[in-house]
Amino acid sequence: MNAYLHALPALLGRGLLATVTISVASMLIALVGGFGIGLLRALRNPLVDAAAIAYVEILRGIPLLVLMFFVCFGLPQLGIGIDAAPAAIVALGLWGAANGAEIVRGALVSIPRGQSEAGVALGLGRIAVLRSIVLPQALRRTVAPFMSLFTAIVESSSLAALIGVKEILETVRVDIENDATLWTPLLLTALALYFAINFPVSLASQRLERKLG
Amino acid sequence: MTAEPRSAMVSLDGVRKSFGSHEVLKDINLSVAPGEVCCIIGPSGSGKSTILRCINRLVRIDGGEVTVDGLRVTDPTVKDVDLRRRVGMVFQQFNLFPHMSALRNVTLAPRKVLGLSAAEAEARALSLLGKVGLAEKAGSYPAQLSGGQQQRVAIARALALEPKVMLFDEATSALDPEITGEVLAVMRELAAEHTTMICVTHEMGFAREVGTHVVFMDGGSIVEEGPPRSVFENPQAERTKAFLSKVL
Repeated sequence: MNAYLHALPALLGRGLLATVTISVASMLIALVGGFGIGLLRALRNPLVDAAAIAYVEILRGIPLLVLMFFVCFGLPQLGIGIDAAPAAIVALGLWGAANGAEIVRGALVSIPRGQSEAGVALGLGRIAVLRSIVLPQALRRTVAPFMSLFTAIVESSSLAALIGVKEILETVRVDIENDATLWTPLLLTALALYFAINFPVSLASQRLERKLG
Repeated sequence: MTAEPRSAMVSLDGVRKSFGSHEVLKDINLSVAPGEVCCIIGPSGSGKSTILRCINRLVRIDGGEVTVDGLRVTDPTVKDVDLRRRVGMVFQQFNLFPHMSALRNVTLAPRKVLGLSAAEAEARALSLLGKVGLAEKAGSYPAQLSGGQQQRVAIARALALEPKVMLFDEATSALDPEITGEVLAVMRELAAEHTTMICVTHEMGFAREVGTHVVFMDGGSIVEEGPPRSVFENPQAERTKAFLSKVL
């Protein structure tokens, strides 16, 4: 019990903070990047499309852990020095942006074609059709999948333990190596922490969905 | 400057269109004078809707020429917006914007395309909604309106740019038979005001009574055309006779 209480401050302090920081930063990259790439694809420029498709397919086709290793250990060898925590954010963010782009693209194409056609027939330009007609309707359909992506990002942030970031899992691991009796209490605590981060994300998403509906 | 030999509001000359290897329009020639109500009838897949879509460039033609109020659709210097503000279009599925009230559906184009102020656009929209009998529904969203009401809002929306010609693409086909009447009544009223209209329709009664010109299409070609009386009562082509015997 004593050892558990002794281990808690680091877990609830630095560990939790690192997990939240990595997660939130990666979510922002995923959100901005996802909308950026998804909207660019709506312009249907063949060159932009090809670049976006290549990005999305490559990023979604490789294991996140391998990508994280590459950013953390590969890039420095190519002369791009990066610390472990930023490397985790870059990897998670790039991966999230690829998945976010597919969410946005999927939401945009799910709006019936008659909607944009009606806008075009009214003399609106492509951008105006996107901004006034398609995007407002598509926005609501991105909320639930982005929520799933965000919780996946929080969960995947634990991979950063493997490149040495002292986030929740890595903090727990170090303590457990010192005292094996801490396995159960610390891992349960870690699970509770991940849940405590993800649950508000889920609640916020439901509220946002209602508001946009 | 426009040396149009005929005073056509809309004319199609030798229009051809294919989707892939499927030739949807084969050498279509059609002329619609100002104030005329041209009704296009014919079996499904005969190219009726494609004709409408060629007129406002929703579909690009492969050959021939379409002229709208003196503007040639194949002329690259003619801007989409200049063409489309002259052409109002009403769709089978209404295609109202579900996230906007009836009023905003109607004010959108005047504001974005004509640059009217919010007040000007609203005044125009309210007057148009009144015209289609829905002034009191201005604040309602499409989901709160019946199909007939939605289509009347869509007509008001299409009229909001004060177009020179109105296109109706099977405007009543998605409606229950008992409520097609309210939409047809609005269309009759427009016709009575000498609005130039091109209506793709399965409403033979409407075509016969309101149409000034009836076109029967089949297989991407105009088989027969003329005043409603001659097409309906004295069809010449066998295909027209066969079609009419089935639908009348």
